[in-house]
This record gives sequence, structure tokens and C-alpha cells, in this order.
Amino acid sequence: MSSPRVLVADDDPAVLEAVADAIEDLGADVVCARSGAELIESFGERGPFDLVITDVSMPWMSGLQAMHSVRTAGLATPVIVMTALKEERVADQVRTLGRDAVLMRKPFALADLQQTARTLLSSRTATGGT
Amino acid sequence: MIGKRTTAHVFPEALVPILRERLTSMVEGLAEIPDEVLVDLLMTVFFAGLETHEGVYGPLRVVFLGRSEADLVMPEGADASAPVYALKVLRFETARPFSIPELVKLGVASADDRLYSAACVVDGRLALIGLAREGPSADADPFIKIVASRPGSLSVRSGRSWHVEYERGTIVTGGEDVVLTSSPVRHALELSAQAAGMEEESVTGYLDAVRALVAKLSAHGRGGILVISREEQPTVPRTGSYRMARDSSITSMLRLAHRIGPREDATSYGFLLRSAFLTEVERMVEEFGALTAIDGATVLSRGLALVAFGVVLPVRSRTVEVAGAETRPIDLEVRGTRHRASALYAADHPGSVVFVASEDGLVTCMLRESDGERVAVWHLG
Repeated sequence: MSSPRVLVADDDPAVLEAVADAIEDLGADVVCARSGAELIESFGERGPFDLVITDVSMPWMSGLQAMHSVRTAGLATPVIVMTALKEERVADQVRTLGRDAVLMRKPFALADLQQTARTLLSSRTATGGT
Repeated sequence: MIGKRTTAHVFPEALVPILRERLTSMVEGLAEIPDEVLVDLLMTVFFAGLETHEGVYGPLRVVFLGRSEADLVMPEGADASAPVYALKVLRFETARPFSIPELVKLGVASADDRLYSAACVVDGRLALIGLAREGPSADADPFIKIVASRPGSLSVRSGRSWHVEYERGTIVTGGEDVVLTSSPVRHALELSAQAAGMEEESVTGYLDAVRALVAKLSAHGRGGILVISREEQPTVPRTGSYRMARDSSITSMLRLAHRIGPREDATSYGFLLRSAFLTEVERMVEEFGALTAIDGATVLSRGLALVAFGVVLPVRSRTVEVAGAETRPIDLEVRGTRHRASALYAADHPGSVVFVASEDGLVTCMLRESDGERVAVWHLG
């Protein structure tokens, strides 16, 4: 079976690198994006992906807006939304992305992120998803 | 549709010269099709459309393929790496007559808004040669599509663009209009689009979406109010309004589609994704446009997200100073509650554009510029 493909988006280079390394350790092929614009460009140019991991607050378009629009257009790619924002409405917005959407509030342990990613990736494999 | 409206009532055959003028450069082989064939095409769809009156049949959709014999129409410039067709013909073994009973029968299938009855010229006459499915790359297919969505109406489009609307004897063409020409309305909409994050080069898509929304407002014949707010989260009265939870906006879909392409090196996945975003824009325009038929105003944010519909705009006993942007004087007192409420809203919300349609489909546009004192009024139809 080929390696899962994961798109990671964060405008903080340190977070981006740390998250990308952690996901690569799971054996995944990782594509990095540094803004909402790069996230969507990567989606179009290098997709499809088995999992998206995105920050909320990013230049051009927030990760939540981008993923909500991607969902509206019919793509059910699982997503992990990372945020340092404390607002409860972020959790509500993540819930609207559906069952395969998980909110992780920063700071979090990379091991927890890996476990969540592993769970979402395995559920995609089990269901033969896109 | 906003634009020029004929004053005298005419039959659909009067659309023929307009189709030639507007579509010859886009539709392959149109110049060689005789007038009588085009008249037959329009009149047959029109009269078949009257049969939908019973409510049993859905809208009638017909695509005219001219003399094309291709079953799979690919977008211009497409290669094998982008297997996304513009139109796919599901051909009958034997051509059927192009007649009202046939179109009405096939109208059941074309209730799906991607499926059309396909007409061709066979031995100099129109014939139904099959069904045609609009594909993901239907943005600019080189054919004429005619939709009779209700009795007495015809919409003519090519690709996903509307070109002409015929409504109960009148023709409205998508020509010069206040949304697209240099006017305070266009300027106000451009400012809203930019505030919503649209890049300068993609503002045209925003204006096109607004034009399509106003076309829907005009076409349903029930009258209504459409507000394009200057604000991202405009406040609306709680009482009586259907206020919506925050959802994706037309602007976000357009931005994503623009970001992905079209590019020569786009992957087929990128091509599909872009098409999905544009299709969603089309659906949103259809849905928002349909909601304007409900009593009250439909309010969109500057990003063209649905904020609320069925909004009862207050009518207070207050004088609103209005000015005709055209030479005609404006007397709102004789235009009824809908127009007075809209003028008050425009007066209280500088920069927001308010479109008001009456039952006869005529549309009025109102705007108080951000630095202006008066509400300017344009008659669009």
C-alpha cells in the first residue's frame, strides 16, 4: 500500500516543521503550506490528500474557511484543525466540518497529534475513502 | 437579467438576431444555421414549456448541437491528463422528431439541471438525437442551451453564462448595465468585493455573480428585495427573519477557484476541484436567487454569504431624499412599501446596494454612496 499523503498548513515555520516531521515519522508523504492560499494551491496542484492538518489563523484565508469551502465543494478529506484561539466558536466551526474533523488546541503533545492522525488515516483506509 | 429590455411584447422568434449577435463568435457553426431552424428551436421549446404548467413536469432543458457529431466534447486546450468533458452525448439509436410532445416527455429527465435534451440539424431539419450531460468543464462549451423553467419563459445560455432571458413577451439581454459599466453601483460592489478579500483580477467573477443573482430576482416574477451589504456581518431584525448560521460565501468559492487556476499546467485533480468550486457558486446563486421570492428582503454580506432571508425591512414615517441616476424623476410614494423600505435601508446603510424587483420583473437599484447624502436610484429594466 502506498504511503498516505498529508497536507500540513501553518504560517509559523517552527510549528509547520515540527508537525511535518511528526507526521513523516508515521510514514506519510507530507506537503507543507504556509498560508490559506498555499493550502488551496497545494490541494489543487498536488492533491488529493488522505489528511489535512491546518492552523486556523493564516494569511489570505483562514484554514477553517478554506476547509469549510472545500467541504462545501464536496471533498470529505479528514482534517485536524490546530489553534491557539480560545474562542468556543472555533469548536462549533470545526464540528460543522463533519465527523472526520478534529480540533486540537495548542499547545499539544506531538504524540497526541500523531495518535489522532493515525486514527483518521486508518479510518480512511478502512472505508476506502478518497 | 439586468440590461436592455425590449418595450414591445414579442414572440420568442425575435430572439434569433440577438442570438446571432451575441453567440456567433462563441457557438461553433451558428453562422451556417438558417434562421428558420433557430426559430423552430426557440418556438418549440417555448410552447413545450407551456406544457410544464400542470406542475407535473420539471423545467425543459435543450442543448442545440448544430451539426456537431461528437459524443464527447472536451474543453478547448484539454489534453489526455485532464479527462474532464464539457458535454457528453448519450445518443439514441435513431433520431426522434423535435416536437413538443417529445420535449415534454424528456423534460422529466432534464429536471436534473445537468441533463439536457440534445437537438441537432439532421438532413436540414431539427431532430432529437439523444440526451446530453453537462460535464465538469462546462464553463465554455460551444453550444446554445435553452431552458424553459416555467411557462412563458426562456433562458438562453452558452457554457455557464446567461446571454438572453425571455419572460412573458419581453426580452432582456445581458448587455451594458449598472453592475458592469462604470457607475457608482459597480464602484460600490468592487469596494465590497475587495473588502471581502477578492483579488483585483477576480472581481469580475464577483460582479458576474451579482448580475446572476439579480437576474434570478427579476425572473421569478414574485418581486423581492436583494441587499448586498457593505458589511461582513450585517445586523438584521430578529423578528420574522430567517437568520442563517455562518456558512461559506460565494466569494470564498470564487477565491479558491481563482487560486487554483485555470492554468495550462493544472492537474486533472486541480481542474476538478476548481470546477467543483465554480459549480457550488452556481448552486448558491440559484438558491439565494430562489430565496428572494419569499416575502421580505434577502440580505447577503459583502462576501456574498447568506445572512438572512424573509427580512422585514422597517418602513418608518421618514422622508428619504432620493435622486434619479437617470433623467426620470423618482417618486417612491407611488412605488409601494417594498420600494420605500428599500430606500430607507439604503439611506441608513451607505455603501450597501439594494436591488428591488416588482412582480413584473422590473428591477430598481438603490445606493447611498459612502460620502453621499442622497439615495441614488437606477431603473434596470
